[in-house]
Amino acid sequence: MNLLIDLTLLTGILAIAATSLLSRSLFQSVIFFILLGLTLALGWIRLGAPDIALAEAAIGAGITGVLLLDTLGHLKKTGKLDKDEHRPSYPRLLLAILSSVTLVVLLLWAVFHQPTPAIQLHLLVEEALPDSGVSHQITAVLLNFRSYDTLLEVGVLVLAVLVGLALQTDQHQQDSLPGLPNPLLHACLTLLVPAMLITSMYLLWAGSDRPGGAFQAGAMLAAAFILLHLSGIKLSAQLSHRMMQFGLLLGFTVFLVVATSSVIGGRPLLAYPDGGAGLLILLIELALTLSIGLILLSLFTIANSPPLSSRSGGSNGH
Amino acid sequence: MSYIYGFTLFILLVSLIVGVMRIIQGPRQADRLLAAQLFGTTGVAILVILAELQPLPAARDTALVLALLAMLAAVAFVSRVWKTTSTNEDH
Repeated sequence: MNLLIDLTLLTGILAIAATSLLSRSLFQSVIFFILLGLTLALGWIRLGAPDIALAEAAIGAGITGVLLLDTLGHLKKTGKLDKDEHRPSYPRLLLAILSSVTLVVLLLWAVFHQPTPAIQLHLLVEEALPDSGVSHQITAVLLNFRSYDTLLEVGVLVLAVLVGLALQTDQHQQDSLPGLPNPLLHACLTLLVPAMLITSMYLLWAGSDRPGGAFQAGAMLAAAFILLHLSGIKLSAQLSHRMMQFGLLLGFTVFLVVATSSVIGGRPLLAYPDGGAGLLILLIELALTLSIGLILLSLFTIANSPPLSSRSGGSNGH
Repeated sequence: MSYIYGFTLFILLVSLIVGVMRIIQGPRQADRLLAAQLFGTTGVAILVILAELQPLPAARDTALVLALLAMLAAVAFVSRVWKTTSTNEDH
C-alpha cells in the first residue's frame, strides 16, 4: 500500500514538473508550478521531513505562485506578452536540455557514490541538544550549531531587497495596479488575516520543540501582507518609509548584535551565554520573522513597479 | 484502520491526477485556476490523512499553512491576470 502511494506521488511529481516545463501557455506553466510546490510538500511529508514541507508549502505553493501570477499580469499589461504562446529557440533549448541532463547525471553520481560519513552528525546533534536551548533538532542546528550559515542567509535576503530598492526608479508609481475593492474579499480577509497572523506566531513558537521556525513564520506573515496588498490595503502606504527600512533591517541587526556581543564578552563569535540560549534564539527568531515578512512583501511590491524603460517602451509601442 | 487511510489516500492521489486533465483541457484560465484550487483542498486532505498514517503530527501544521495560503493564488489571479485578459478579449 505504501509503495503504491509513493509510486503514485512520484509519478505525479514528475508528470507535473514535465508539464510545467513543456506547456505552451505561460499561464498553464505557472499553474503547474504551483501544483508542483504542493505535491513536493506532500513528497517531503512522505520522506518524513516536515520542516522542508512547511517551507515548501508556504513559499513554493504560496508566495512564489502569487509572484509568478503577478508577473504574468504585468507582462500582459505592458504588452510584452502579446500572445499566450511562446516558441523556444532551438539552440537555447538544446543548451538547456544538455545542461539539465548533465546536472541530473552528476547528482545521480553523487547519490550513488556517497562516501560513508566519518562523523555521525545526527548523533552529535542529539548529544548536544540539551545545551542548545531548544528541543527541536532542526532549530538547534539552524540557530545554534550552524547559526553562522543562517546569519549569512539573512544577509543575502537583506542584500537582495536592498538591490531591489535601489533599482526602484519611481516612488510614487510604486504599484501601478489597483487593488480589488470587492466586499466579499474584504469580509473574507477579516476572517483570514487574523488566522494567518496567529498561525505565523504559532509556527514561530512551535520552532523551539516542533517543526516550524522563523522562515516559515515569516513566509506566513508575508502572505498575510501580500493578501492585504492585493485587496487594496497598502502596508507601505500606512507605514512611513523610515519605519519600513527599520523593519527590513531589524532581523539582521538583532542577529548581528547577538553574534558580536559574544565577542565582546570574550567568547567566540555567535556563542550564546550559558542558560540564555533559548531566550536569545527566540528573540532572534521574533525579529527575523518580522523582517522576513517585510522583505518578502517588499520584493513583491518592488516587482510591481515597472522600470522606467519598460513603461516608455510600452507607451512608444501604442 | 491504516488500510482505510491508505485506500482513501490512494483515491485522493488519483483524483489529483485526474484534476490535471481539467487543467490541461481548460478551456478558460478561470477553469484552470479553479482546478488548481481543488488541488489545494485535496492536498490539505492528503496531509491530514498522512499525519495519521505516518504518524507525523507536523503534517497537520503543513495542512494548516496550505489551507490558509490556498486563497492567495486565487486573489492574485483575479486582481492581476483575469482583468487584463477580459479586456484583451473585449478588443
